[in-house]
Amino acid sequence: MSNRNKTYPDVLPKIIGADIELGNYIRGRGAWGGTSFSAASALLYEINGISSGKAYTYKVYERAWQNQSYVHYGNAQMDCGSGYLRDQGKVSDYSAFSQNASWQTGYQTPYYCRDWQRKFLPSNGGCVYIDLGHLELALPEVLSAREHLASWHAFLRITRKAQIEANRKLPPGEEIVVLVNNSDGFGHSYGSHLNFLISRRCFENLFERKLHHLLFFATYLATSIVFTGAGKVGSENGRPHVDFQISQRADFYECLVGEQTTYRRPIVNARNESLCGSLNDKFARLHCIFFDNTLCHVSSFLKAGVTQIIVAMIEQEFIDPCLILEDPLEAVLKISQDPTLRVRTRTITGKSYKAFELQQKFLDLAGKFVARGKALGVVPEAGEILSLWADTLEKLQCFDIEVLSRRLDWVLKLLLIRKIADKNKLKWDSARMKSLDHQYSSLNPEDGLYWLCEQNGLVEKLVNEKEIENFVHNPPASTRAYARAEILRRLDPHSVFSVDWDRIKFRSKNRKLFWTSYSLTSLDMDNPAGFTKAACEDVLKNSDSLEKAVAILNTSNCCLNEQPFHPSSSQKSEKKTPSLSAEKRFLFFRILRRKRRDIVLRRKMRKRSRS
Amino acid sequence: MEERTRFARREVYFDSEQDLGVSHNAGLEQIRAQASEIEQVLEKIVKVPTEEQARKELLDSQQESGQ
Repeated sequence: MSNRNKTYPDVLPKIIGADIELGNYIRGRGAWGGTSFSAASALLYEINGISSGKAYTYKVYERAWQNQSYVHYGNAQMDCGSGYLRDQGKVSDYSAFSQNASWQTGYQTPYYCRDWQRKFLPSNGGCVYIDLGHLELALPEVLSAREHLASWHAFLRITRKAQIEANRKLPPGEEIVVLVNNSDGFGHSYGSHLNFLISRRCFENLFERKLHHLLFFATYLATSIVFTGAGKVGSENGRPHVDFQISQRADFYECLVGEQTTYRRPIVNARNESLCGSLNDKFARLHCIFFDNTLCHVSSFLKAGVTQIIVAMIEQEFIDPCLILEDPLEAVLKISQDPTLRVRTRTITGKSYKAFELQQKFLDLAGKFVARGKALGVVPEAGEILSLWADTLEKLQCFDIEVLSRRLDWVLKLLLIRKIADKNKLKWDSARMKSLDHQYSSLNPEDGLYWLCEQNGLVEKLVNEKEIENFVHNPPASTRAYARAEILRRLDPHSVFSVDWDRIKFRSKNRKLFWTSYSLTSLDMDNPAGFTKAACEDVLKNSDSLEKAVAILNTSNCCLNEQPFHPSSSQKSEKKTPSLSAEKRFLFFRILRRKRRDIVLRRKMRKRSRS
Repeated sequence: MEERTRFARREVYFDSEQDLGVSHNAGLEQIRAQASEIEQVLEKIVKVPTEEQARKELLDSQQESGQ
């Protein structure tokens, strides 16, 4: 029975994914136009993973690096990147992208700026790539907010290790700096996106049918910055001047809803890309681009956990339209620019509330939702999330700085910067203040202010070292990330044809009596809540071969997709044009067959006409 | 009683400047951390860059606009 024919409920577990961009540059290089791409390339190289494209790309990628230093590195990577893109048929004309790359590296080479050189990690099932000059960390799908937090800090650890390795290879005087923030202070912002599994019906309600659902969510997001903000010195993007504000991203929201993410950023992103293969008509992904990169455990935990509950409430239509803000866009900016938390925003009922007061109302509603058992099987640890949310809101209400600075990034940052400024008599608009803002989010534990506080026990930790380290080396057990990681571990990297969130495709050797044939085997993982440890562990252990295991997993969850192709042509294509996929080859031969059939028919027609 | 203490503590940070129409930046001036450990930590470890170093660092740190 295929996944498509199964019936799926309209209430789904709120699986969390994340794609998070980091700030990265090379200190001391001083290249015109910035060094973000070079820094991201160097970091990406140091992270072990399997290319999402063909093994061919992976080979060239390695070989090129062995002979070149980072100075030329951009060129080597671009060459293999172009191969990959040609393979995928993503770009036909590289010249459009080459200009972007050449100013960074000095080489006229092709470069595709989005999701470039994607590598999946066999260690934990997540992936990394370069997006618009930023190293982007895509965390594996997890079920709970606690797992998300552990996985997030695990990825930071992986990046830090890459940073140390990359720095060793740089010339003296140069150093890669990684910033876990969302803006550079010059008007450039980069995202920290969370993704939630929702039903297709919920997606349609949000964006096509029920406007109040969208506004309810936008109101929650706008007021949530009081506990999800990372804090920022100054303002950008033409916004009114302010010394310090709560959110990194508030300056960049320019509309309520939209599909775009790089310009006129919306509060609620409407991107319709489920990453669930054939289940696209049943499942959807809520791509939430609103949040900041937070380092504090409580802030990161609440950001994921509370949003899980709110999204579940929207899915089950458990909402209160009276909470909707009259203008969420204006509210985001007003709330962000007032760290004293006294600003009031007006709801559609005409009443005005402070941000934490509105959050309190969301909390009350969420409390009823959970008490009725509606979060069971949907949001793990909902009770724990509610109690921490309630306590944090209470602390915000009385502005208990002692507790809040241990939980929320913006409060901790404000406190630290304020103290340093007092001691050194710094002004808010000085470069030193902005530099300290960046220093807070530096990934380097020796100068990152957050890490210094963490080492000295000044922040509240929700997950321990063991849990974080577990996610560095292991995938989450409760989602399809488990199967992805386990299969990638068992595969020879050169046999991997393609990897994506919902599918792994690899080459299998079939030995016959006198010859060897090859076929492509794929595992379709359309259901993010399927292919868990419980479902896959025994199958993977007990099967004679990976192909057999995949066949069992496919028949239990989806039909097997096996496409034969000629081995010799595949080897040729690997050397020259690895882009000719089995599908294209199939189409080519079909056209050829049709032409032959046409010729035969014409001959017959001629014979008949003569006779 | 506990609530009252908390509200009283809040007054330490902000007084009633907002009610008098003072900007929020003036409110920020009043933030005084009670956590003495933070001061101790900062004294030990934070290297504050000079104005020139900070400017150079900020120029280096320019990013491309992302998502």
